[in-house]
Amino acid sequence: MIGSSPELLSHCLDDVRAGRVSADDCFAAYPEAAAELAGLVSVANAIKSAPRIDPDPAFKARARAALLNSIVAERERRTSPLRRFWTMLVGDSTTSQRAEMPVSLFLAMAIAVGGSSAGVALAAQDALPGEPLYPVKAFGEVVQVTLAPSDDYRTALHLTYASRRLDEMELLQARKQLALVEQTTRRYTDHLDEAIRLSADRPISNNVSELVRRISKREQVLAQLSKEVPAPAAAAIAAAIDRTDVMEVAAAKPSQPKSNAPTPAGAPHPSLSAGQLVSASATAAAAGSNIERLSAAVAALTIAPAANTSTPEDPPEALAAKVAAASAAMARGQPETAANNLHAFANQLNAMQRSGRIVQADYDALYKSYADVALKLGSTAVPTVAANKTSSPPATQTTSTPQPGATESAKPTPTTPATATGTTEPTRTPGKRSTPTTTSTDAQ
Amino acid sequence: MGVALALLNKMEQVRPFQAQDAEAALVDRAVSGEPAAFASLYDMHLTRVFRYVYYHVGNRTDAEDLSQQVFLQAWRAIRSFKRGGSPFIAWLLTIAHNTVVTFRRQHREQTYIELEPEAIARWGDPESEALSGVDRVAVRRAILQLKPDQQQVIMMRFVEQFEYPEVAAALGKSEGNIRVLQYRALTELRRLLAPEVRGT
Repeated sequence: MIGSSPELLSHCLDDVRAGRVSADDCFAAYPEAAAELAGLVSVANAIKSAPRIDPDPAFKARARAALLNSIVAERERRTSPLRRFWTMLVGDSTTSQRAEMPVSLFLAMAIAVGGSSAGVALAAQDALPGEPLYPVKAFGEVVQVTLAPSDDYRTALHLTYASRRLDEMELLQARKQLALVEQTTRRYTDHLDEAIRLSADRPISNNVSELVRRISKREQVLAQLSKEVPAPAAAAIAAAIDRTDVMEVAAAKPSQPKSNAPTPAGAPHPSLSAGQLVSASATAAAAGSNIERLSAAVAALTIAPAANTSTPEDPPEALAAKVAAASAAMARGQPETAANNLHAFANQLNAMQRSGRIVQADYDALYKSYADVALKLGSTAVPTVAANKTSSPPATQTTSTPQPGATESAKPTPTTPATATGTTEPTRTPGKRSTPTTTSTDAQ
Repeated sequence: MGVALALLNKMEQVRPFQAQDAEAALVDRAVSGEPAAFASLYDMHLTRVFRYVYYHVGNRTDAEDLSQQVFLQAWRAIRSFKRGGSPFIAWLLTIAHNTVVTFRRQHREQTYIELEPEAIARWGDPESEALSGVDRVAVRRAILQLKPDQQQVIMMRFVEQFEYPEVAAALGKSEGNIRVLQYRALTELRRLLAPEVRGT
């Protein structure tokens, strides 16, 4: 028996909405409350869904980038470096790895405190995820990163450890221990995220560039793994590939001399920072309606390189392949990847121009076409050679593994403030609005 | 006609099981602190959150600012989200509602914020309005005059089409409480709309 008015009303609304009875039948069933029910149901029926107003695509992308930046910034503020890196390597204590932790943690601590188990530490270098000595290996990496003398060195360490995670993934694959791949992939991604964060708004050393190049060359390890693992791990691998691409583009930015003078507020940075990359890629996601026009513009870019470049070092096919990859990425609905491909295209184009393997007029025309597409994607164009020429130091180091002191030897001579800020304006296509890139750490 | 529209609205919101499964996996990863997973949830739900906020504030600029705040606050509170209770979007809309209430408190001089002409133009359904005799702008105006908890229940039940258990879980109340709030809210709406609603 339905008694109170709220229950009667709910009963009537539900039955009428579900089509079980008509409104009139429901009112007739409760004659003593019919008048009240009729009035309330009438009001309920007058309430309609919200207006179908969609958020502006540019806002969606901008807010997404700001959200991610804020998340990263908040994590930075809240987590001590040691704890952050420990969590990255051995997992959160709330994860499924908790069961194996006590013994492993004991081993790690025993080595840290006692300092007498060099043999164990050495043996741990070959440990794989899931093995008792793995946390010892992880702890060693934590210590190395924590004690790193500079951010550049720390970046190199993260990239080195990312490479180790790739090694581990290959071994896990070979041993058919695919259940451990997902977690290892996430650690790999975390290393790259840390490297990207540390590289934000800083010059990329040749040492770091070389490490990134080596990791990028092994991207097929991830691609191969994704075919064999279950869906969650495949998603993690897709994210890892994406971060590899972002790191590759971040490392491809022209090397900049470190200046002691702070960059004036509001002055544009001459190269893409990792934060800008996140923002640009997010903005690219909003370019869906321009896919057809973008594809046409990208297709147009493929014509010129074949006619103007012919040296073995930079075959025109390499340029065309990058453009084709960008076009394919757009077709797959992956504008971020497309933007990365186009950045790689621009870097190669700049390299060809610097070495005199392309005539200036062709370079200008190609660069202009590229910048136009990049801006349509919502991405920031890679600066022209002219913009970089006065601020890029010559390559001085190609060391592939981080060594104490390597950072210092690679450190370029500081420039004057005028040099550091006077050549920072990236080339813009006339008539195009520069897409705002959000690097704020506070979304509010 | 009204039933058919309600069913259509409901069908529009019912997503395939696989999509819900994928969302659940994303929520789990976000709860464990993975920003990329949360960004995917942002992609999935921004539009609905935006529309909810827009309904309350009536203009794009404020709706954009507040929507952005909603997701940032959601990230900060993500560990408090309990799987198996309310849908994730209901949880987000609860945060959206609190954000809007705070915003409106800060703008006390504006008790009712008119919708932009763009929204009214896209919202019109002259045929059904002629049948009910109530224009939806007037209904919105009345809803925004309700108490915050009543507003929230009306929005979630009739605008967002959630079921009682989902609303109850999202608001941390019993289903009985939700029914009482619904009854009081509709009674108050009836009073506010008395000159307009036929049969009142």
